[in-house]
Amino acid sequence: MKSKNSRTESKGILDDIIKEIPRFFLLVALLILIVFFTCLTPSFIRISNLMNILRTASAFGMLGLGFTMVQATGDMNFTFSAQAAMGAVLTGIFMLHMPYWISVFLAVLICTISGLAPAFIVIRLKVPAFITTMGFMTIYTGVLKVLTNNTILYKIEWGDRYTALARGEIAGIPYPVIIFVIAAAAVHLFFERSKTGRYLFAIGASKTTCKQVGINEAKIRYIGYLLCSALAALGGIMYASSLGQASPLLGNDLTLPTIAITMLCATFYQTGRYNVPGIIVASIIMIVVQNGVMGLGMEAWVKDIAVGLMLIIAVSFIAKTHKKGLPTVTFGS
Amino acid sequence: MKGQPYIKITDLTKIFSDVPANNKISLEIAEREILTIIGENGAGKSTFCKMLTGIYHPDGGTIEIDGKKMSFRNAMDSSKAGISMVYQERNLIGYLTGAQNICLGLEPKKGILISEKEAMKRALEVRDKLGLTVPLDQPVENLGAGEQQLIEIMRAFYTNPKLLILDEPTSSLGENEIEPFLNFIKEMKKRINISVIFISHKIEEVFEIADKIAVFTDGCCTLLRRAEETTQDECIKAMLRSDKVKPIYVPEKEFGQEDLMLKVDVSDAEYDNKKHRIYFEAHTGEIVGVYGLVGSGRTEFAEVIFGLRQAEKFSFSFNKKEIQEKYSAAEMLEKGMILIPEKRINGIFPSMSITENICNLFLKKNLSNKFGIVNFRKCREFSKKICEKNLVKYRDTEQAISELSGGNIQKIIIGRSIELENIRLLILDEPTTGMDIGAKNEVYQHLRQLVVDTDIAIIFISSELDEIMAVCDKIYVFAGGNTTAEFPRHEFLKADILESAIRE
Repeated sequence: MKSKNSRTESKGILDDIIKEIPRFFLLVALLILIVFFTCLTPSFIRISNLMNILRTASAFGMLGLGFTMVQATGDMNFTFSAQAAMGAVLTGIFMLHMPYWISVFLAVLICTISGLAPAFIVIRLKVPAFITTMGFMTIYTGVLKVLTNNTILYKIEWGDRYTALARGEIAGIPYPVIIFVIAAAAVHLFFERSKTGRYLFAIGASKTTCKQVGINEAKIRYIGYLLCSALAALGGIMYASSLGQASPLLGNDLTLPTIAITMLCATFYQTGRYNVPGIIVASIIMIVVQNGVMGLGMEAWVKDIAVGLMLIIAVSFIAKTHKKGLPTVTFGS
Repeated sequence: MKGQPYIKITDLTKIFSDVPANNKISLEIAEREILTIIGENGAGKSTFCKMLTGIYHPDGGTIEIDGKKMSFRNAMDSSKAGISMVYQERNLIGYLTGAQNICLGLEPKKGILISEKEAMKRALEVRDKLGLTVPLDQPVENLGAGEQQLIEIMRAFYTNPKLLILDEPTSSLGENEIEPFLNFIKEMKKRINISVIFISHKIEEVFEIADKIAVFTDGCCTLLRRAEETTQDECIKAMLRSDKVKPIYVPEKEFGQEDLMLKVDVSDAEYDNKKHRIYFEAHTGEIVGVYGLVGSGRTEFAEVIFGLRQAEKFSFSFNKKEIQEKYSAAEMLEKGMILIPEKRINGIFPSMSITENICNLFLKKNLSNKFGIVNFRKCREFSKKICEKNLVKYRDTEQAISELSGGNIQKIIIGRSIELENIRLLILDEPTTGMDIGAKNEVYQHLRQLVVDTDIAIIFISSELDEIMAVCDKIYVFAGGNTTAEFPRHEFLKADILESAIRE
């Protein structure tokens, strides 16, 4: 860890403000993009469209929050996208026999437990997380395909219960947004003010320091994987709810945007670290771009290019401003 | 008032693969006493500390605190017994504040959340107890090296230790931070009832701060005296080891100006965040030794010469040409210089075969035709030739190089380097680490033969005094990044050379 050999001197309030701008640039970029898309398609700014954006952003935000949990400790975790699909599919299946909320609860529970397997192999057996979690992503997707007979799950028996989560609102604010706001607030508090949350980041920053102060590295990492699995399941349920159907391949569309969102979050507010305000802004900007591009009538692959570009811009920014990179995204020196 | 020995260690022993890293070490530390441990690399200082902090389990001997026998299963046990250690490298979480780092792992809670107010309060208490003024509300990555170290010391004090172990604490400090730090340690002893083990290789520091001095050599405590009852010379003598290297015949040679291969004369060079003063000459047919303790800047110097490390205000002459502009390792290789790195793993492609490792250096020159197609038969023959010439023990030239022993890998690395057409200077950084004594001697003989048979100069960097005295025509001593002394062969005296290495 580097140290400064001289203190930077304060040159006045204006300079302080200017210094802060890069930190909030993502928000500025978001506003610019909203203006941009509105100019091209005035219907962009309609309340119904904005609410749609927020709905989807909330689902991705849940995934981003979960992904960050494991990223912070220094592990890449790809299983989350399959777990999102798992949450959606299992809810759909259980709903045929049980009330919605119990189905959701059971689905999330099973998904959370499913996080133990990759966690054990990575933490206890010390197999690299990248490959392990990718392997489990494939395994769990395969299991889902069996459960749904390799089809997209849609049941008449659901009625409109499946989509109720996405469609419902309180005082004009969609349920998913409320859920996400509550979750984000809780996770932010968790990261900033709880011991476990702090240790998640400490492990990613310096494993030797953690060992020296007696932090139980294994326990904290397990908690990270479990929380990630739970949040992934919830995010998947929210996402599938707005689609009205559950596909075992749901995860395919979720993986890259979520990774991009997490990388982008580190360019905002607490730059160089994964942080919740960053996840919020990054999720919104990601869906604004996706929604805006679709609204212009472009083909789906344009959206993919946009997502890819955002990922590269995010990582380049971090590379230029933080020599050491982030946990899991280290740069050669 | 020095009362009962607070901590009493008797015959403490730790053995790794039949070799005692610590061999029956006995010493006592009283309350409010500073014991400094001084010794060369590999003398057993850090093994000793790891046993005190519960990271290693002793194979023999006892540790008694306040008369009670102690047995530490892990670091937590030792911490609970009142032992805290601050390591040489910094172990802080950069974006957390000083207060947060101090309480790390033991943060006070209010309900289920951390109470930052209480954490700050406790951190301030520790800071006041130690009489410091380091800011605790800033992310520690914004603080200087000295302040960061003080934060770590404060963290050590957070658990109210009775014994504080400091491992080479001044090695990470800037010039102007060292004196205040030493004063702080002396003051601390007066303010708080604490015993200190202070590990250092700098002999002046040792005498400035110690109440008691212990010299570790080859795993044993070879001297244990109160500071006022011993001298620097006595300590240096106690650090010398017995001879293990067979003497090699090295002919007396005179080297003239026309043989000068490498000359460095800088007083102000900047690299590695420090300024350097270096005087260095190497001639054809000469093996020049570079001796110094770990951290004395030898590897960094070699990296600068070879173009692996950027430096300012550094110019030198190589093979009678002045080198002043920026250059890369590839360019130096073209000019006829090669560096064989300290970590063997950086000199080979571990997953590739012996042939591939040897021939990769030569593909362009001898082993491919003008279309760039490689002639595999030629490669295999060449690789076989190199292995035999250098007495490498191998099974098949196509086996993976990682299957060979360290010594044999080293012979291949050296062997292929000297086959380079225009090679004039070979820089070897700790070339015999991990080799058994027989293999080492083979390398020494080989190198001496090389300077007889060919027109090259060799720079031999090592921290083993015996080896460097056996092989070299001349020794430069490095300390603190600078050359501090030059010894021609007829003036080789162990005690003198060692002394130049520990005085900066």
